[in-house]
Amino acid sequence: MAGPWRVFRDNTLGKVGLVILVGFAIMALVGNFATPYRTTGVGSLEEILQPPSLSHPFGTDDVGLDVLSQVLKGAGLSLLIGLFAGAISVTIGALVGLLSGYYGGMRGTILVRFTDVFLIIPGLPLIIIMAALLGANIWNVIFVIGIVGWAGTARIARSQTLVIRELPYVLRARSLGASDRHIIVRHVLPGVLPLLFANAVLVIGTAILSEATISFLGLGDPTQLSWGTMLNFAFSRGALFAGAYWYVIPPGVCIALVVMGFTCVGYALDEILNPRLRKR
Amino acid sequence: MVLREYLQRRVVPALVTLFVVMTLNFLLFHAMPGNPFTLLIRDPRMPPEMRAKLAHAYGLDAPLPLQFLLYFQNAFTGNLGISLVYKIPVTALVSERLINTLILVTPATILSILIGTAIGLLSGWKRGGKREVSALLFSLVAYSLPVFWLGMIFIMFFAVTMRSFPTSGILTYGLTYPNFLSYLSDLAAHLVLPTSVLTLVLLGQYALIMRSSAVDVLSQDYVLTAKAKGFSESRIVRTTVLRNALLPLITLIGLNLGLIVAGAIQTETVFSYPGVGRLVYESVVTRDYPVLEGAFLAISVSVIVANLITDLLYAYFDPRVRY
Amino acid sequence: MKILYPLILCLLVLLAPINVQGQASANGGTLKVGIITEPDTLNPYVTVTIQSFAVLSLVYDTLGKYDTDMKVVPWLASWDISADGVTWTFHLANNAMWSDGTPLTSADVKFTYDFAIQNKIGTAAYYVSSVESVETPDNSTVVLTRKTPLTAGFEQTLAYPAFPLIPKHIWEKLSTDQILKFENVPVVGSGPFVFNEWKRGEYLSLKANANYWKGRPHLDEVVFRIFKSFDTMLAALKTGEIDAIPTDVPALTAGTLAGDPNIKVISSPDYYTRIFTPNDNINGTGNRALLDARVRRAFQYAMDRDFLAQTIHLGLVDPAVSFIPPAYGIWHNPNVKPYPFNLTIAAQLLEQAGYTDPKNTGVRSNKEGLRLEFNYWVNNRWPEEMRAASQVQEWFSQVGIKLNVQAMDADTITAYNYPVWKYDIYFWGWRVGPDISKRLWVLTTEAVTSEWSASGWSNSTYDDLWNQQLNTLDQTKRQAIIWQMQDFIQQESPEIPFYHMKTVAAYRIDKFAGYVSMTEGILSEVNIWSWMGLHLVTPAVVTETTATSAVAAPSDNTPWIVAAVAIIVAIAALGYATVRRRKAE
Repeated sequence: MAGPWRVFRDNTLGKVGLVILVGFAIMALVGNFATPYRTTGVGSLEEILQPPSLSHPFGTDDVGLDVLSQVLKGAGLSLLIGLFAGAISVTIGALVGLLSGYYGGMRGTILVRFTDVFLIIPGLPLIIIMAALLGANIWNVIFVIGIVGWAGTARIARSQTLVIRELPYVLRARSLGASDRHIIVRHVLPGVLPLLFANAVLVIGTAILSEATISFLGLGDPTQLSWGTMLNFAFSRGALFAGAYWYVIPPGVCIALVVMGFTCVGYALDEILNPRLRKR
Repeated sequence: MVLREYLQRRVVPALVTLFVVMTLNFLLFHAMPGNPFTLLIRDPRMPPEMRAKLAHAYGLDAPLPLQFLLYFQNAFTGNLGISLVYKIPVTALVSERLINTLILVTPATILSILIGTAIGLLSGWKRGGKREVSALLFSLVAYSLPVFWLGMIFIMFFAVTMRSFPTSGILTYGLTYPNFLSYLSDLAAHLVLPTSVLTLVLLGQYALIMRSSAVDVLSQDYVLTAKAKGFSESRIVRTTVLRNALLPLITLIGLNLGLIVAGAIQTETVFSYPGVGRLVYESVVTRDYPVLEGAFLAISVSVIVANLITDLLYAYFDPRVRY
Repeated sequence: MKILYPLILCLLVLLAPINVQGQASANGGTLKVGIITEPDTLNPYVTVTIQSFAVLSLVYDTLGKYDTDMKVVPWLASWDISADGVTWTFHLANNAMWSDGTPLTSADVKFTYDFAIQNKIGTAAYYVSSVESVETPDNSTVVLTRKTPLTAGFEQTLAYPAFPLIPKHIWEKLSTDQILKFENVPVVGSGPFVFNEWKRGEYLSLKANANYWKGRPHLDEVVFRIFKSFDTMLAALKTGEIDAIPTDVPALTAGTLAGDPNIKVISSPDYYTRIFTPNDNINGTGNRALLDARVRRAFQYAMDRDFLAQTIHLGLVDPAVSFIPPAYGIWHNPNVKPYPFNLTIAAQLLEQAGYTDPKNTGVRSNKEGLRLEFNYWVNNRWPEEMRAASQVQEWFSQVGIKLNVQAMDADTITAYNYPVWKYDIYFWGWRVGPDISKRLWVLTTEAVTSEWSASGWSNSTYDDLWNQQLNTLDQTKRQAIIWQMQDFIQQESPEIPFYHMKTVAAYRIDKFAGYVSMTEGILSEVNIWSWMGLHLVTPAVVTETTATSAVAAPSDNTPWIVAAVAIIVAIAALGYATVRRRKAE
């Protein structure tokens, strides 16, 4: 394993991404347990929509609560939803992709077609519809984002499985009579895992973006604090019109940075783990 | 392979996808838990006989498989139901909005593909140089920005603070235009902000795609050969790289059409632009299920069609396909 | 060479003539009003939205209208009342006409009443329930006989926009079934404005009735423009695209608008109350703890409504004590004893009711194991109330109540309400209109079985009091009963009113003048005085688009737009040209 890590260290993209992610992970951990001010309930009249000041570096929101504290506290949920939803997507995608790549014939074809369909169906409208039908709570959000975004992973898993399937040692194992299950778990899976890992990182980034979007559209759980729900309140309570840029900019910047972090790391991992992309 | 064969291989899966989409649509809206009667008929004072009559008119009391068949039959004859809110046929409403969306999305997509490709090429070409890094950084940032948030920022800055562009809608209400150019001028004014937002975010995506593609091509042997033969870098890029990266680029664009849809929904919502994307959001908020169904179908069909078009383009550019 | 064409195109765009002079109009001008929720239908027997009533009040007439003190004054008719209150004789205005040219006669008035009595449809059925018969001795006289025993408040029904005078020759053709489906577009009415056009989702326009029997209104046209979000609507007000936002200006933005010298923000009393509504139905499946009035009183002590009115609504609402808003005038009881915010007392009340928390789990329960944990549904269209709910949750947790706040859409809430009563607590808004009897009726047992009850509460004492006030003609005595009812409700607390909302409106004062402020605001279903009195501030030559047939006026956007278009075209052209060149290589 020493080889890939060293390559990673030479990869600026990966380093930058990692730094960002670690930073936000710390923010999420810290923010979950301790924030300078409270983040629930209602503040006081005098503190409503105050611009940034020494006591409130990011100003205050529509009910007088400190924006910085909310950004810190909201990090945890935003990241968590992204992680869980991403995990669901990758798991489903890996399963479908692996199986469709390994099995030819009817089974394989059906799975491939299934994957293609979900690749084409536009994700956000489907997420919106399902979120609206299921109702507003975190688990629904995670579920909905997770089961819509698996097709990309499936495709990658499938193409890699197709390659591994034809490798000499795999063919040898089959001729020796090893069961499908054994081959998949012992040979195919380890070969697919690195690419899946790189892909998972990207998928998590997209999931975070999706959560922000549907929370903003009011389909998330407004009783929970995430960057997306912050922006939802900012928009729906007229902060835009009041010119309260301090309420709008920080959550959005955080979302963008986190997604960037995941994307950088994902691309870096892809470069490292995908032998074709390594710098010559 | 022959063009005809190639197209057949693409059209059939497209039709299958269409069928799956319609089935999904049906399942979501007719087989979900929650009483469709109550959701459909809003007035609590309506007597039960009235409710039953209306439910029968909408075909809600038939068994599920029959409803499914009816749904398909209706969809193919263009009957997608009546909007609960607007009281007009869903087909009319959706087609009107779809056109508006196309007006917004087409220039944005074209622009973002052109600019994005250029930036992607730049960042994939000179690995490790300053140009690569800045182009890459720009692409990453553009890709990571939430579309709705960018729209909010644009509105705050351009429309509220600077008052230069209208913050919403597609045309200024109540104006009559003495000539086509003034109509275009008003339309363009309303389009500038949403189009810019959509373009910016999409171009990040395309830049990154192009970069991967370009990097991939540049690592190929035939490029090294060309270099060895003494061709200038820029010549190599312009001829070999571009041409060879083009095919996978087209494929990837086709696969990522969902992003355009996502971007359109968010942009239209934030800018109150009357397109099919905002229709999805509106109908979710107002629980106008027939419209939601119809809009989802329209969007999916558009994406399937656009995908077929990119397949056609692919066939056009792929030297292996003969006509 | 191929680059030349795109360049020429750019030049042409740059040179295109865009400056056109605005056209002026000598008459009243077009008032553009911004609304978010548009009318659902213009059929007065089917509609439930205030927006519909507002439009209906302009295209239809009623016999009387409310003046600024909310007393009924003659409008289309003046009337005499017999000494025993049974016979009412109406004298109609002479030259009233329907918008299709047919004269309005007493036959139409008789038809309107008969129609409602016969078909028992919509809210109208309630209004005519005390009418015995209607006769028409001649074309402009109507004699209405009331049923005995007489009920109070009949005069109020003469001015209800939900019960307008409808043309016999249009509506008599409809069977009961058809009435519900009747679109009623274009509306044939006798009101000061005539229905012009309705493009759903975009605008609804009315034109002045040139032949109005009272004389035409000053305005030429009224356009209700429908917006999808407050931000865009408010921006339109700021730029002058619209002239008024008659209601629902959010608290935070009212502050922002106040800074503009051309815009005035005004808040007027209204009948609309937002209420914390527990499930009080004995047959319901909510948390049974809610059936105990002591628990509900504890709720009252545990919520600081004054504080919420200040912070969430910036003081633009009245914190509620009695469930009857001050807008009801003499019927509002100002002496109802308020519950001060006191968490200690709240905790004590819960202890007394048998809910304790000996193990300190944070949630109280009684001997049977019933926990004080409730699902609290808040209408997801009210972000400010979602914020408030978060605070209520905190207060409750300090007295040992667990509140699970959920955002819920209105339809789902309604579905779990009547007839299943399958919820714990929800937050709702109530608006019944000027009829005090109707507002009080909503809490009766009868209301529970007719889907108007919010909490499913049923109490015979209250029912008796209601019947009494309905049949008490003496105003002072009636007032006493109604005040007593409010004290009773405060004691029982079946529903806990949070605030009495006010109509917050914002309007431009640079274009139109003549707004009259009254209950429900400057432009409402009862404010006919504004609608009749509004006129342009500067008549004659107008350089902006206030004229009826507006033409694209010179705007300072033009150079930007031209530049943007030119750039886009240039880029596209360059792109195209470059691609072509590459292909050629």
